[in-house]
Amino acid sequence: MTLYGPPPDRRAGIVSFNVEGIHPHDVAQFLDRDAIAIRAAHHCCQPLMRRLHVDATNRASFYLYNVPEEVDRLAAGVRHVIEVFA
Amino acid sequence: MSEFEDMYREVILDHYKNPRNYGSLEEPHAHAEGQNPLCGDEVAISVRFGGDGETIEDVRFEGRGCAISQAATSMLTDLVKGRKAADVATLPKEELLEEVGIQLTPIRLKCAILGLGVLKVALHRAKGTPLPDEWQGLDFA
Repeated sequence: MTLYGPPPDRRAGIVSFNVEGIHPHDVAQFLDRDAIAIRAAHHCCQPLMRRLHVDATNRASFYLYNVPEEVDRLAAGVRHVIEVFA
Repeated sequence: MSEFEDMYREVILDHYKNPRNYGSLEEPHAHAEGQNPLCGDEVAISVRFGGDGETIEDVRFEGRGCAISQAATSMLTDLVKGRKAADVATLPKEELLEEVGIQLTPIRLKCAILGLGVLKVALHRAKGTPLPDEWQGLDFA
C-alpha cells in the first residue's frame, strides 16, 4: 500500500492511499459492499494526480461521527479486497 | 461469500487478469481510443473486417484502468467477433451488461460501457455514419 500526504503530526483526518495493482474504483466498490463509504478516483484534482504519477487514489475521511471500530473495519475491508484480487 | 463476490472473482477477475483479444492490429480497418475522465480508464480498440467489408473478422483492445472497464471490454471483443459492423454499431448496452452480469452503480456503469462506446466510435467512423447522441461525450481520441 502507498499512503499520500503529510506526516501524521501535520495530517487531518484524511487518508489517501493506493493498493498496488487494484484500481481505487474496485477497492471502493468492495468496501461499499461492507458498508464503508470512501471516495475513489480523481477527486476532481487531475493535476495533482499527474504530479503524484498516479491514475487515481482512494480517500478515507474520518470525522466526529466515526468510531474506532470503523477504522478497524476499513482495514479489514482493504485486506479483504487484496485477498479477492490476489 | 456473497453472490456478488463470486461473480467478481469468476467472471470479472478472470477477464481482467486474462484479457481476451488483447493487443492491437496493424493497419486496422477501424480504430478508436477513449477514456473516462472521471476515473482515468483508457481503452483503444482496433477492428479488421472480413472480405465482405462488414463482418468483424478480428478485434483487439488495449487499455488500463479498473477491473470492470477492462473486463467488460475483453468480454465485448468476444461478443462482437464474427458479427456485422452495422449490428454492433447499434448493439444495445444491455446486451453487454448482461454478459458483465453484476449489479453496477451508475459510476461503474460508465466503466462497463467505455469499451462499447469506443468500439461504436470506431465503427461509425469507419463507415461514415453518425454516432448516436447517447454515445457522445466520452473523451474520444
